[in-house]
Amino acid sequence: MTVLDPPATIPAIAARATALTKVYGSGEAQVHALAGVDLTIDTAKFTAIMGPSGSGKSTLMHCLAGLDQATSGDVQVGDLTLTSLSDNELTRFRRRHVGFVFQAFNLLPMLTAKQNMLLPLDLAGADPDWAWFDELVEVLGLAERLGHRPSQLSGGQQQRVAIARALMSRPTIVFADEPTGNLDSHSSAEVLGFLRRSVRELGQTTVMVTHEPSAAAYADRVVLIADGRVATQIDNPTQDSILDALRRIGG
Amino acid sequence: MRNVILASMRTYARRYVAALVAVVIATGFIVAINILSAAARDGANETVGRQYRGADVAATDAEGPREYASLRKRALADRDVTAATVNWRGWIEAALPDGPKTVSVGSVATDRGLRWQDTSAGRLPTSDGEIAMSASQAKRHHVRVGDVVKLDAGDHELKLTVTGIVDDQDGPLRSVLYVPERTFASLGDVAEPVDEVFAANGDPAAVASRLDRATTGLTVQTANAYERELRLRATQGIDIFQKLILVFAGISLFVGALVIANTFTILLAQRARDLALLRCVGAIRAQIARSVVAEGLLIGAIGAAIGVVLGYAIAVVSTAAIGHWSPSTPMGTPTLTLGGVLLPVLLGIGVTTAASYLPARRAGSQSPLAALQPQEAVHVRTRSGAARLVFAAGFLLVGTAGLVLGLQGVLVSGLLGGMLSFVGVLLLTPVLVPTAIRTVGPLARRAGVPGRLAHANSMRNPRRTAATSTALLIGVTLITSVVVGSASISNKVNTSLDTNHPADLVVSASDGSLPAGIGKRLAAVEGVSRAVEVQGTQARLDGQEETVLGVDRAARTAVHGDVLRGLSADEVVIPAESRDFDDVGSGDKIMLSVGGQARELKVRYAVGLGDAPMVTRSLLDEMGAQTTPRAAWIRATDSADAGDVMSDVHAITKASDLDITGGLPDRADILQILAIVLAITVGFLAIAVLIALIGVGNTLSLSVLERVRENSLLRAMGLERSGLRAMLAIEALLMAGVSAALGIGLGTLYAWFGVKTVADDIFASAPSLTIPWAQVAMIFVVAAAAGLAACVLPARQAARIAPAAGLVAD
Repeated sequence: MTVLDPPATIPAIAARATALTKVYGSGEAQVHALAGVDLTIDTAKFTAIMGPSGSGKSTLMHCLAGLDQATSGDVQVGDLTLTSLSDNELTRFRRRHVGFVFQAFNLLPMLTAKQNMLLPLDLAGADPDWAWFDELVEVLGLAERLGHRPSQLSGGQQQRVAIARALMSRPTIVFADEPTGNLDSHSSAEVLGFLRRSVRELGQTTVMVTHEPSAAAYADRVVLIADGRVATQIDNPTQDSILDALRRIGG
Repeated sequence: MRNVILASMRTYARRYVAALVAVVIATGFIVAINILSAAARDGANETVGRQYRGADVAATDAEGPREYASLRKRALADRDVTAATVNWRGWIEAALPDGPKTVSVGSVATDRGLRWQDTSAGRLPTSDGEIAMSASQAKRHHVRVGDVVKLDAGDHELKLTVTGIVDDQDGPLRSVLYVPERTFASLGDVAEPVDEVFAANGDPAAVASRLDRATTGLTVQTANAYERELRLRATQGIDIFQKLILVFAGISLFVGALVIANTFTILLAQRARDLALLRCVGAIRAQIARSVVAEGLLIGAIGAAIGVVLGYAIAVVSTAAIGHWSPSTPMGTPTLTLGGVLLPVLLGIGVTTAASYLPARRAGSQSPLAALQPQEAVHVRTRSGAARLVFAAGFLLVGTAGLVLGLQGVLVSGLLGGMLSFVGVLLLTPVLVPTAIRTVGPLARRAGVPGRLAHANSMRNPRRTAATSTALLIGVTLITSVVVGSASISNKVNTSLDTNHPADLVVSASDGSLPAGIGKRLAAVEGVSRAVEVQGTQARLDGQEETVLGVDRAARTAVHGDVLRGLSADEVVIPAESRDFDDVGSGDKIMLSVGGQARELKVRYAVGLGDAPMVTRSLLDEMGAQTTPRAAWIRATDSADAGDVMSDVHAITKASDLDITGGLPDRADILQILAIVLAITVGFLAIAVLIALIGVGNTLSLSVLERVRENSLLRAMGLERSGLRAMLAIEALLMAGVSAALGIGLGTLYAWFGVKTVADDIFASAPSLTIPWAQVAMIFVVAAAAGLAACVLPARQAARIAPAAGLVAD
């Protein structure tokens, strides 16, 4: 598989981290953000990564998404081993195989909603699938907003545009980093609902980093990170089971 | 507050660099000019003093030599006056070893005490038949002690032997040749007395007043008072020159102010959160505003101080350079005086502080809540106010009216009109530049995603893009108008020269034919592009015996312009220099008889082709005239050195006693002066452009810092490093390219107005506008390339940004 091809067959595991470590700084100021993480992400499943602040969950996402290189260990997405790729290859990998939804500042302020949505495809020089585009626009309720700039959209609308952009290229994995952090409860529920629908109806593998148990409860599996390691995993989580687990690991 | 100011300046030190550099350059420029002008003034003053060092009393304003002569008699009768001399000065044609030249000639006083010339070789001329020459001219014309120089005193010739070489010394009495005072009587009316000076014992003031009372019409004063007058005259020219150059310095300062204001605006936008935080914890608006102005003051002070040092260094180097290349120009030593330094420093500080004022006020009006809100996307659009547009329209209207009025010949109106209209254009740049960038959009979009992003980016903040572009626009407009204007004027001058000096050099025999083969020898001279022998014959023209030349096609090619165009077989060209046809007018008919045949020819006048009448060669052949080569017409290449060509040609013609005339020296001199003026003007304007380019780089680098999040988002989305760099490069090109294009257009327009106002009636024949396409294209390329160069460092900064830096929550 090259960085630009879609996967030929759908494997059961979308991504895998093996003995992943990440160390920042040197000498006395050394920070061990990840201290040996072993993790698999299942295809077509909604995985939530949870943990207290400083647990390393964002660093883990960085490494899985090809935004950063680990100090040691392996990251595999599909057939590709990310840890052996150069910066340009990683860039092209992200373009084709990863979709991002950030907590805030998702969109380029000088582009319209439509242009923002098509940005990764533009960068790859690929033609958009317009039927897919129209469907996304309809499902996410953005038809009226396509020509508006981010400054003219509400927080919830901006996140929906970001989701549409993430889904537009049908990536291998969608990474969402605290997507509801800036939203009120109504918009949050909306955004999480869309993410889950894309997993259920489109088979889109989605990984969400969050610290809210209510958000994590939308996932199929919750992975709890503490002190740079996987503490525990919960399948089919509920808010209560998550809270229990959190209490147990003292988070 | 002081700690905050100092701490923030230390932290953000690098971001002030552009503003600092702008102040340094502008201040340094002014300081250098002031020091150099002061040194030039000192030099001029000193030489004036030296030429009158032996004199105690001076007399001027006589009506003629006779008044001076009678004053001399009366003065020498006075008991205190010991010596008297009249200082003569004039212009005379001298036959030098390398050719005839009209040079200045001055007098050597009979009395030794009143002589001011110093010799570097030989001795000063004291009796008839002796002459001295200034050192630099002696070198140039290969004259040595013992050579013979012939002077053409109108109706007779003087042969003088060089007895000494005189040190170069600038001053009102400076000349190329020096002859004893007595010799001037035999020079005819070639020279005029400049003044008369006397050496006296006792109190010069008393002697002066005695002599003054005894005469009417003359002004008699002490030598000191006279010297003061002369010094004033000498330094007046320097003063005017200094004022002109200070105009350029003013332009640099203005551009610098724009760059400084720009820097502060962007800096403060970046520190918006810090300043809002200060407001939160209790700083009132005025405190914030004041702290920013204090920063401006500090930058201005530091920049001005560095500028003074830089200016002094430049002045020292320049003085040395002038001493090397133009040793006869007197220059004092460059010194730092309080007066020369104080004003530029105050200006530098003042401009920086003023430029930081508006951004400071805007920073102070930040709401404290801005600090509490999560980091928002930077504010995207700003609109230009209606008031600005109204002002702009007003300036443009008044300015255009002034320019049009200037076309009628009112220079001042044209100048003011130009300035006002330009201010109007500058006010409009926040509208003009983004519109221009938008029209270039399709071109930018061809460059793919980076192109589209760059295009969108450069239109986001019209006011900031405009501020940056304005600085560059000013520089490019000025340079273009100077380049195009001078090319147009050069063309006009050339066309005029073609009419008045069509022949570069004309070699003719005073009687009889040219020696054989001389045409070939002349053509072989370096710098000669063509040497054509023109056949001629003895004939009777209008009753007089004349050498008549026959012009063929070859001869026509040796001549500039079309003064001989369309010469038909029934026309005769009478040179204006010929003194034999004073009563014949253009269009009259006169008889040409040669070889037994006679023809009636119509008269046509021309100038600058020697003094022999001309007809067509075919006419002479038809009339059966026996022709021999009588004159050689020489055309020099455009880049030839006039002096070298003339001395080489003279070396060939000397042996055969031939005459040389022609317009080559004049043409070369005039074009050289134009070229020098152009080079100096462009050089000074380039300083302003340099400051502007620093501003462009500055804007780009600060906007890179501002857009860290966006750029890291793009990297996360999948834009490679090279794509990010390309995006910035295209942005830089758009800004620089659009400014340059607008500037070139405006500059050409102003050049047209300028040339039409100043030179239209003087040189009416040539077209008003000649656009030197090569040079204009170069201006564009240099501006665009410099814009690109300005983005190299910012692009490197941008590429180092980690993807998704600052976007992730933790």
